[in-house]
Amino acid sequence: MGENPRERRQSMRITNHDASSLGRSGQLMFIVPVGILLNLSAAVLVSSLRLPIYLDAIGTIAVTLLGGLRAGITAGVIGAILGGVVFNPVMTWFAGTQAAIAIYTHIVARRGGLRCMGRMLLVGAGLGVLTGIISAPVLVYIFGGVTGTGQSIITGYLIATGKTALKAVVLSGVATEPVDKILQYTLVVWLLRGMPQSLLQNFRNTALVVNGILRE
Amino acid sequence: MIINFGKPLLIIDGPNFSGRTATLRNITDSASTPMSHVRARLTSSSVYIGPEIYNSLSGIGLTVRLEIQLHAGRPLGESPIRGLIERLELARIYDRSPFTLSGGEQAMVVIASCLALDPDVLAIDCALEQVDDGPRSVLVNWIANGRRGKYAAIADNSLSEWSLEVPNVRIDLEANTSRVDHRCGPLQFVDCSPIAPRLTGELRLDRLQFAYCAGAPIIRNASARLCAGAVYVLAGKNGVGKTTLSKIVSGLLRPQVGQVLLRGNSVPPWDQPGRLIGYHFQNPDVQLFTTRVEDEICIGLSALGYTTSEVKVRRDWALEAFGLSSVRAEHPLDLPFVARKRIALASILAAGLPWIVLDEPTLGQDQQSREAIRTIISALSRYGTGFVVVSHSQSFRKSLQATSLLLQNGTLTVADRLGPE
Repeated sequence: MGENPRERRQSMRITNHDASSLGRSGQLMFIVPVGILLNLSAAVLVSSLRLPIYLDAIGTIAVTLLGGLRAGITAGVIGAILGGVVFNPVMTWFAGTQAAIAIYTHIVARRGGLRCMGRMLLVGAGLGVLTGIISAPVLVYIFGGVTGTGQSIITGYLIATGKTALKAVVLSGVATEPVDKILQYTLVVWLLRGMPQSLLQNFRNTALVVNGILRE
Repeated sequence: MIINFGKPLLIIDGPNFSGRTATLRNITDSASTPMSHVRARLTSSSVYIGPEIYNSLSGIGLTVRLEIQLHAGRPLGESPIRGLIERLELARIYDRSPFTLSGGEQAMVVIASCLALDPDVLAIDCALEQVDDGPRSVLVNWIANGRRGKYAAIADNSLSEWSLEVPNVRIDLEANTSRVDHRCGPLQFVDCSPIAPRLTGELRLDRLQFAYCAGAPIIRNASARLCAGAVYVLAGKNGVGKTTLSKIVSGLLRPQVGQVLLRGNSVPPWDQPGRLIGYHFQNPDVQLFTTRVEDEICIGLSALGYTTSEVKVRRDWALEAFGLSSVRAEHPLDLPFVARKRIALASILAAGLPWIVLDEPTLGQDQQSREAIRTIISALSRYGTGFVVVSHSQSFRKSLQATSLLLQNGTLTVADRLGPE
């Protein structure tokens, strides 16, 4: 085939491509907004039902698992700022917590912390304690301990029993957050396990492989 | 592998799982990732249009006019494809959203807008199967002759029905290539007694009238008496309302006037969609729900109240007849279009309902598979299952030996029996 030059010009070489055509930044461009929307929709749902949990980091966790640390922090922080503007001003103050969730998730997921339910319980509880402590100063010194979420019910009770505001907030946070975070990890892992492998392959992230979500 | 484009049009022929899609994807130089067509659009040097036409819409063109303008980058009057648009008579759907169009119209809009990009290479992978004969030959002629110095490659399952009058180069691919990842077994006829319907009966459409919100009625006055165990082919032009009528019959849409009567009972199907009359979606991705092929077939059966052992028998029938045993544990969305279409079709046929509406069951299926689908339909109809089939494949329609229901201007006429010629 392609003996004379004219014909050769009309020939095309067929090769196999395994690299993703969009590149890394292209994928992140798609996944970060999805994460932000997941965060916000969960936050709106939970707060309108006045549940004592948050679920507003599922997008952050999912994006961290798919796109890595930087994408996770971006989704979490932008989501918090955007949520503060369009939905509840309180959210913006927890941008730091969102970033901490992304960093923690990145570290534990790389070590296989989401591989099975047992590990997920431990890792989720750990994150709950961490975020409970990180969020407490913001809650106390900026909002006086009460933000109108479900957690405030428990905080209010503890303050009424005679505890200081900071103590009450830390205690109520440590009591409610682990449940919330375990639930969030479970939800995200369930969500990612339901995604087709061909889609997950776009995000060649070690965290997915280590936790058995992406088969190799 | 080097492919020679000696002529502007390359035709790729071959059965399912012969590597047609892999070849076309390689020609358009886009890796096989779900997002690859986005990059191809951005560079516009080569464009791949797959069988999932709805995935090829940009998503930001609110109307057909905007969608094409967006690709052309200039007003329609100055675009190089204005002649094509005239000949396809797209002007009548200019102000509609591309997402409300019927399958065939959507295919025309997608191909026209990709032609407006004026890509060096255009690959069309089974995307023309839902387009009527007239517009299809207009499109193929334009692709082959209307673009100087540009190339196109087309793969299609209905090639034998086309009267190709344009010069082309042809490649025939072998059935067994190692380049295909998810291979299903052959679609074959398996004894249908395990999936026989539990209930059969006559279906009557009584003066149906339907309009999508704030639109002119698309179905005006459709009445018909459909006998149990008969096969009907619903025919009509692209965009005439075949899918709409199918959805009304199966209870997914509720007519403003009229009713659908099964066995003379005025049990409206829209009160329990999918329980009495099954509907196989044109777009299988709408129907797919679970994360495993096996579960996908079982979930509908369990919902219909079959016992565990019945579900197992029907599931095994579906997996065997549709060649899905080898991929039973896979995620349906990991599989190619042809396999997804088979999964959706298998799960609805296995349900044993008295009436089944099949919307384009042959999309993406090669000749051998179509023949197997036909034998399964006729075997089931002998058990009393009634079928309403919408299909653009002429040979498939003829081989069904069905009564033709012609939909025209919103009314239904029962035409003569179609037989093999």
